[in-house]
Amino acid sequence: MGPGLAPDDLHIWWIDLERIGAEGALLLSPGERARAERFRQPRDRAWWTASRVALRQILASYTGEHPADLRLTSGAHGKPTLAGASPLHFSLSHARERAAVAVAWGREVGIDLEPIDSDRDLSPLLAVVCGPNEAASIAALAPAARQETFFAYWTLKEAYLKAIGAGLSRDPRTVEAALLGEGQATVRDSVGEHGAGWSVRRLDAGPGWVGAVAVSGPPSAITTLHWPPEENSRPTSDHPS
Amino acid sequence: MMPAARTRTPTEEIVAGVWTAELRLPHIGLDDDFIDLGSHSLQGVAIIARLEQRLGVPIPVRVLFEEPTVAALAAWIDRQRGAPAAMPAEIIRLQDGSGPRPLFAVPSGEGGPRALYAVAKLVREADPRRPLYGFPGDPPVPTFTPTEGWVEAAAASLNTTVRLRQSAGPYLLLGHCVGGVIAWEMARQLEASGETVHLFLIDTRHPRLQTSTAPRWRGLAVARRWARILLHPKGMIRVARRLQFEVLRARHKLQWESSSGAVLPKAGPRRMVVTGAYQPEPLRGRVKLLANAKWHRADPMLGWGDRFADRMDVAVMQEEHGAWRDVHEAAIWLGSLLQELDPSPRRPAAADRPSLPADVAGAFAFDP
Repeated sequence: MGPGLAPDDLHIWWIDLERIGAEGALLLSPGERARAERFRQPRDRAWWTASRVALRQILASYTGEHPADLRLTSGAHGKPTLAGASPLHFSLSHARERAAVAVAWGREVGIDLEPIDSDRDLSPLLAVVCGPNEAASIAALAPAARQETFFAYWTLKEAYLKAIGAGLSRDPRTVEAALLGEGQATVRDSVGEHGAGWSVRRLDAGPGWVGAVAVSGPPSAITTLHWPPEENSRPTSDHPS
Repeated sequence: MMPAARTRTPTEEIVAGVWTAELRLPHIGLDDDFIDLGSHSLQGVAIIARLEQRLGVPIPVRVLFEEPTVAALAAWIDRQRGAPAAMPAEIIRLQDGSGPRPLFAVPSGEGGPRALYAVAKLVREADPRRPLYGFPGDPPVPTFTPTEGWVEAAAASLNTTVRLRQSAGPYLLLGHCVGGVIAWEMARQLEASGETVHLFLIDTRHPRLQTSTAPRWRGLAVARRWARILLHPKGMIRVARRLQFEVLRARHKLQWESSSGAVLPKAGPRRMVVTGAYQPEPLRGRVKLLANAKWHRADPMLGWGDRFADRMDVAVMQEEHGAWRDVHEAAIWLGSLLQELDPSPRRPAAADRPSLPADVAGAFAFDP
């Protein structure tokens, strides 16, 4: 616990929501509990609750506070932050039974995790999600490869838009991603500074899943961790080339 | 698809349908929040993509998060389309049919029972397998609607009803005489929301020619009509047939399935004035117009002019205006156009066709 986070480091936590105990709900604030109550499906409520519990437990391991004492607030477009201008920056993504948290000191981060939905018809989505270059790249691929590339683009855009604090208040077509191999990627933002000053990277999220992280400034050394901690597990380090 | 929620407008119905399909939920309330339904952002984007495709309205993704319920999103879309959700109009099923897409008809004049029977008779002859709906009287147009906006408001109301019977196009619309002006605006609004429309018009002149026939007041119109009937060589026969028709109608207690079970609403003579104020714009689809020989001789385009000429196919029948009810020409014209759209292997024999009581059917054979 309390993993050392160097100033230039980026920690990526993979969270198994099924292994977060229901008693963790006691750590949530009244506002969070009220939010959880509004979910119509019990399963959605349980996963959302577990993701907030894990987020509190992970952040507490950096700040040294009790998880229930952390004060989480929302930014203009719903990006959660720690109250009181804390230098600890983080981003949370959750999809089905998994969640991911990215943590960095003093740098804005955004993370996104998605299961690859191989049955999904991409044709209507391309028009709303992809810019012209992305659409052309996907069209040039063999049909079998299109699904994964689309989801890779989607997570890169989402991670970037979450990092800059805009989320989907921005048109996703205005941010174009490109894959460079070896997990490397770039985004080009047609608004503002064209994405300069931000680094994005694809994450190995396991078979059938895609993930991406965005961080302000140059690329960081990424450390991958798991929550809840598994027996005999050691943090694995992964330095970008 | 079954309606997903107790929707109140066609847009709500479309939005709810797309939500249930994407979120794979059996039921969605009009005021359920998108996030509370356990949706994630890619599903949100997929919903937006489907709605854009379906309605032809560009929708920024953020709108789903700003208007996160079916009711709010539908209202936002309607505001963008400039089409406030209109009250549905009364509709009558004039012909059952297991056949292809239904035909929606806006009858002539004021949409009274006789105008509806006339349309029913035509389509029974033209395509007996096709479901046929007709609109009686005037739709519920808000009383403050200005004359210039009446046709638009009426068409919006009729389209609300059309959408509830058939949620997606291509749509088939038939307009007779002044009813064709309203059908034209219905087609325009449906096209504006991204639908394909096939519009058939019988003796519909350009609306600016409608004003010349608009009576100043009701009494004059009635007197003129009766004078015309009585002065006609067969005037007395016509009067006798009209009386016979009314007697038969009462005796058979002809009940037409009406959407609310209400008595047929009666439209005022205002329809002739308000349709004259309408300024039509060319449609995307080709319009099929059947013109009577007399009007066609006076103007082959029936006043529509060059602006519409290349988007209209005009056919001519030998009869006078209104007399088409008695002849097969109009039925052959409409039947062949419908057959082109939905080719069917065979036409059912006359004996299979649904029919009115024979004596009532016979009473159609006059010109009002």
